[in-house]
Amino acid sequence: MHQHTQSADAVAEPTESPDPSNAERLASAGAPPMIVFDEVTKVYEPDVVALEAVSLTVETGEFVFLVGASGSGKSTLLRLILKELDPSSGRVLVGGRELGRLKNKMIPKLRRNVGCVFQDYKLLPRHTAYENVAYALKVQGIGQQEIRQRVPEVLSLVGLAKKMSSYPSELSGGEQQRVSIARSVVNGPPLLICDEPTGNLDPDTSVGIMQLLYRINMLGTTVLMATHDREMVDKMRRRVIALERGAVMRDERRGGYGTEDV
Amino acid sequence: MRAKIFIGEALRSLSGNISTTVAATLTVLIGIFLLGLFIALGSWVLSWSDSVEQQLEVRVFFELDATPKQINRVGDQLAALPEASELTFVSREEALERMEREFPELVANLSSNPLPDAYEVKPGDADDVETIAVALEPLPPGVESVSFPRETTERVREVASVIEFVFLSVSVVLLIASTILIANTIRLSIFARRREIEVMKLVGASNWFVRGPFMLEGLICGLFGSIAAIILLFLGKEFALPKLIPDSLGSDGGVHAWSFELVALILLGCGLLLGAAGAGITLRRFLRV
Repeated sequence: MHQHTQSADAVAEPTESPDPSNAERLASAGAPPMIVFDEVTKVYEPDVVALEAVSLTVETGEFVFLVGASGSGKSTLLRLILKELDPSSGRVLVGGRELGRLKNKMIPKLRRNVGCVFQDYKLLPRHTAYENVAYALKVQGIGQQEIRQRVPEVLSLVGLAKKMSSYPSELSGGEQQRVSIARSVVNGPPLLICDEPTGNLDPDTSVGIMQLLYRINMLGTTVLMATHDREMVDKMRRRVIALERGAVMRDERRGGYGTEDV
Repeated sequence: MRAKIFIGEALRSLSGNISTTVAATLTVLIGIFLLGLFIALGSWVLSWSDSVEQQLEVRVFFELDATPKQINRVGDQLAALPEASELTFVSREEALERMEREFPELVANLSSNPLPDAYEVKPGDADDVETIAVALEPLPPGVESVSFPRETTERVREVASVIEFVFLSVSVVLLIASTILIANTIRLSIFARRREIEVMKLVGASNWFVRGPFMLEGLICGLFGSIAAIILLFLGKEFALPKLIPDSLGSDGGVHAWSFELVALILLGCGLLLGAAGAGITLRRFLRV
């Protein structure tokens, strides 16, 4: 994993390493698109339209920013991918599978294949960093032996090898987010969803988190990240999907956060 | 493997939420204690009213010179009554033996047997005592008198039915109240941890994986709460009861509450069921993530 440190550094100076070839390589291998939204509309009762006829495709291996003002539908879009919500109309496909046809019993299985990172970390407060990560493996019935091997591995990947037995309350915001990221990728999910992962963090810490996400992307995981962090988006020059009032306003392969007037 | 995880998670959150654990356990304790009290009291009262009703019977006394034929005819007549559930012939000799047993000092000086032959008729239902007595009017030849406890019958019947009603309704109310109380305590504890449940679901835990430890927690609270209640009831039975109730009443033949072991078993079952089912059912609402 550490051979990627080089490319992770590129986050700081992205212009020197324009590298979407990862996505192209994987996409051309014939894998189905990771995420497909087909004319998806979501209306919250009674009549709040959160998403309106959204269609988009995210290829396997891509790194995609999802930007837009609060209330533009970013979180709704992410929650549809996790099947926390069901669309009012239209189809959502994840990894080639239509979520509308997924039985409730299968939802846990879907979520084990979609890592998620949240603004508020969502760690279990009475579990140590190690146990929080291990929980994601335990729910799948993975044995102790494998847990003992994989959890320290992924915690050192996120740079927390020395804080494995700390409780969330003993960790800084950045460290908690690292635990959360470690938990989300410990299964090796093909897709990682981040809902403003740097929203509560200071700029320096945010860069660290972004580097980490970038590195995870380089290892082959598709990353879809909702964010308000204009600077980060502009620096990364990745695909940007901009939502406005529930509709896709802009979808650029190497976009910035938005036009000056936003 | 999975059981180990469940137990670990349950113990972790029990010790992590001491106050709710204690609250839930105490709630179970109070509910189960009251329930136990009422089961013991109620079953004692039911047994008492039963035994009083058992003693209600119609006695048919024959004249001392009644012929066997007359006696048989009355016997057939009684046996034909649908209300009579049990018919016993007590001969003069048997009556005397019985009296010797119960009141030896009365019989000691008798020169001859003054007691008549008699039939004792127990009704199937205490209500029917009078019906049976009336059926023998006018008195058939050979019968000297028919006696039945008219006043007592009605009194006992009234008191018993009131007590039965009160007992039943109070225990139903109590059971409902403690169920609600326990469910509420569990709901509070789960509500405090709904975020945790949400996280578990988002990480891909199935409903049963989340529910397991919670139900186990409920089960543990139920177990300890009901064991504590049973211990309290036992202490009460052993130490407080003898002082409250004089021996003569306590040893009234044939009247007793259900055995302590049985009550304890019922209470333990209720406690476990309340704890686990309460947690499991309450959790449903929070699992829809």
